[in-house]
Amino acid sequence: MSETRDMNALGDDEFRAEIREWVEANYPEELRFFPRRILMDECRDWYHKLSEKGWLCPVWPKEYGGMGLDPGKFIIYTEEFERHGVARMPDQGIVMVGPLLIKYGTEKQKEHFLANIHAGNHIWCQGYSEPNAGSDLASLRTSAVLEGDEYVVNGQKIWTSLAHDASWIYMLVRTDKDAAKPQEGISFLLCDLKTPGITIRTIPNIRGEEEFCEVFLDNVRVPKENLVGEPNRGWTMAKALLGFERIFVGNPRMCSYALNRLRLLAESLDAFTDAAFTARYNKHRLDVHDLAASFERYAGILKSGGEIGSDVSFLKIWATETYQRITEEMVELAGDLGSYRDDLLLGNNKVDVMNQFLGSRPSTIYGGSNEIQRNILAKQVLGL
Amino acid sequence: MPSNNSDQNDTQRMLQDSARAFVSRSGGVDGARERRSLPAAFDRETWQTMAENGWFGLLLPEEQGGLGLGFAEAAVVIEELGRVVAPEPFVSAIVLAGAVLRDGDNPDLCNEKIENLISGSVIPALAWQEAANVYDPAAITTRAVPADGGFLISGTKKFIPAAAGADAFIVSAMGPDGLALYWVAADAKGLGLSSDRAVDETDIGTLTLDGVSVAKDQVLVAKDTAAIMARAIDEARVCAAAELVGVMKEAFDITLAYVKQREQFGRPVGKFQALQHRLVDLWIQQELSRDVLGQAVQCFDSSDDVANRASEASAAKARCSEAGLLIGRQSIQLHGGIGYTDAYHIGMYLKRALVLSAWLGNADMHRKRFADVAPEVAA
Ligand SMILES: Cc1cc2nc3c(=O)[nH]c(=O)nc-3n(C[C@H](O)[C@H](O)[C@H](O)COP(=O)(O)OP(=O)(O)OC[C@H]3O[C@@H](n4cnc5c(N)ncnc54)[C@H](O)[C@@H]3O)c2cc1C
Repeated sequence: MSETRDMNALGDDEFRAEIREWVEANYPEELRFFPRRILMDECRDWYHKLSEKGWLCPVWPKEYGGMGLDPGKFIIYTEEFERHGVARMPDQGIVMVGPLLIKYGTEKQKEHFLANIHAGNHIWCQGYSEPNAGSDLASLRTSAVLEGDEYVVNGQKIWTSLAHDASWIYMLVRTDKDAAKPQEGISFLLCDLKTPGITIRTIPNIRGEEEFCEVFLDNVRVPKENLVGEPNRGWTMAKALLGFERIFVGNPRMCSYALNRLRLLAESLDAFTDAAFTARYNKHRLDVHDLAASFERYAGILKSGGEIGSDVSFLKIWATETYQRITEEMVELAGDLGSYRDDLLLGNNKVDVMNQFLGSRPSTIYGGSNEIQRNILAKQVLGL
Repeated sequence: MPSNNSDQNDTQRMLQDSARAFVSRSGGVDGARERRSLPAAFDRETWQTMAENGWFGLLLPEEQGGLGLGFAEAAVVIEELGRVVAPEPFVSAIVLAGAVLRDGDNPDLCNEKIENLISGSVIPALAWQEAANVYDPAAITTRAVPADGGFLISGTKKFIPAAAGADAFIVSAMGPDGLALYWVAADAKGLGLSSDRAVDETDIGTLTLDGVSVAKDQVLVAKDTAAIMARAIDEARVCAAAELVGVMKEAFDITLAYVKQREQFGRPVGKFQALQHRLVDLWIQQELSRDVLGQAVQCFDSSDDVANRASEASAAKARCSEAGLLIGRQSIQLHGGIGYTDAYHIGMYLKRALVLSAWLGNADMHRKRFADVAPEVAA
């Protein structure tokens, strides 16, 4: 169940070639460039294949069954997955819970939960946001009160992505209402979604998909062994999880894809004969080109063993807003067709104008909205 | 905490230190503004000091008496010059003119000129453009007609930076065997120079040649002239982008310091979120500029591929021109009334950005050129 070699020892090209070859040979053709978030049932075979190969958890240390890739190799790994159009699986266990437990979990927690992630038994979702705690997450109110050997949890989580497809939830809960600062009364709790008292309701999103959910917690009893780390240290731990992976929100891939769609649309509509459109198109192209240049700088920092600071937030802002501008251009260019819900069939070309336009909307909201990112940059980088 | 991305090597750090020492010794921005009132709109003595720092040979190969360093090193020095809006024509006289001398096919003549270029004793200016917004080196009407074993050159050349201070012109003309570059001393008979002031008070010259006589051995480049010039022009574009990065960084730093200190409504104006977000957006443009410049510099230091160099030069010149102007304009806005005064320096940064962005193609032109030369990548 684990890769026995130290793949960091391979040369970059050799490593890339090996990843590429294996992914091409093993990833199901019908799942390439999947048009929405994929559900576990749709990708279970692939999940198991990756797990058997020992390539499921690229950054976990080797002793926990991960590949232990250094950041530079991890970037190559991601590049190859994306190049081939590998769908993003329900990966919260791999991306969040694993690293959390490896850093802060007890031996027992690690043994139990990590094995279940490898096996694909536990599919995780993230329970941070609440109806009244979004950007101001520290004001969250879902409470966990210790009664004997159990925490009794009451409250509500919202916008929980793929909760209906998940079997476990990791949550931030309030364990001390009287803490001096709201951040200091928050703990990290792991909870089986089959526990009595939990109700999950999907919330159809703007594209009509069932992607995020409400999770109601009514006297839910969670064994106290499922608290991670020290009580009331949840906020600090959650922040410490914001690692180098933050650069991936600045990956130019989404923008490149959207730009290609825009080009296809423009060719179908013969729009490159219009100088005004062409000028705007050229501008989008350079916005993406320059994003890639910035992304490369940060990837280079990681590859040479450096650390990423809060300045990296600008990648998220530029990537998501460029992505949105491109999709807005598609709608504008489509004219009368810019109101159609479904993909446009233009000659032999199928262009997902509305899918791209609507799909680009939440990227500036989740993961810390772009306004919040600007606040962070203003404060931490510009010293304002 | 910031990312630890000190990507500078020792040579670059040394150059940066020496450039910073130089600009402060030469009076910083005050000095740089004063030097514009000299007849040439820059200062010959300052030029000499720059030569003594060894900067003029940075980009030239060791075989030709240069230091054989790269654009990464040149960019460090040029950025610092941009930070004080220095009027000395480093990019036009050293980078642009230097590159055609480096690649010329008359080694004796070229090496002699390079020696004088590096020592600072002779300042050349490349006189090539004839019409606004035309950047094809071969699209000219200036002629070099054989006469008396040499040539007689006639035509008009425009948009020559720092022409008033040049000792000689490297003039492009259609000769008997096609496009060639000729060395013409500034005091040659038949040469007329008229000067216009750019908005930043530097000089822009128009050169008229009326049967100027040039000896046969004064031909610098006669083969592949258009390609050699195109290469030089792209190198100058990257360096102009570096200067723009210096200009925008300093304008941004000045503005950031100002909003932290200027109080209205009982607090520093930089505490207002509307301004914070705007400053972040300007800073993002600055980061993109430095990254696209970094990519171009790396390309020029490692690749000879013409199309690749052209697209990277255009990407850098497009972003840096646009961002330089944006940051320049917004810097004035964020200063309020004082930003509109002549005495306060911030306006000078907008003016310098206007000049640098217009030179060798502005953002609009370079976005078009990028589209023409860079292949579209498949999704
Ligand atoms: C598709 C999608 C998937 C998600 N998945 C998950 C998930 O799996 N788990 C989870 O826990 N959460 C998830 N979220 C929630 C997401 O993290 C929140 O939506 C986000 O943190 C913003 O919170 P909010 O929606 O309450 O907006 P609010 O915080 O109410 O913000 C409203 C508006 O005000 C702005 N604003 C707020 N504060 C400030 C400020 N100080 N200065 C300036 N502007 C401000 C915001 O930027 C926004 O524009 C998801 C969201 C989306 C859209």
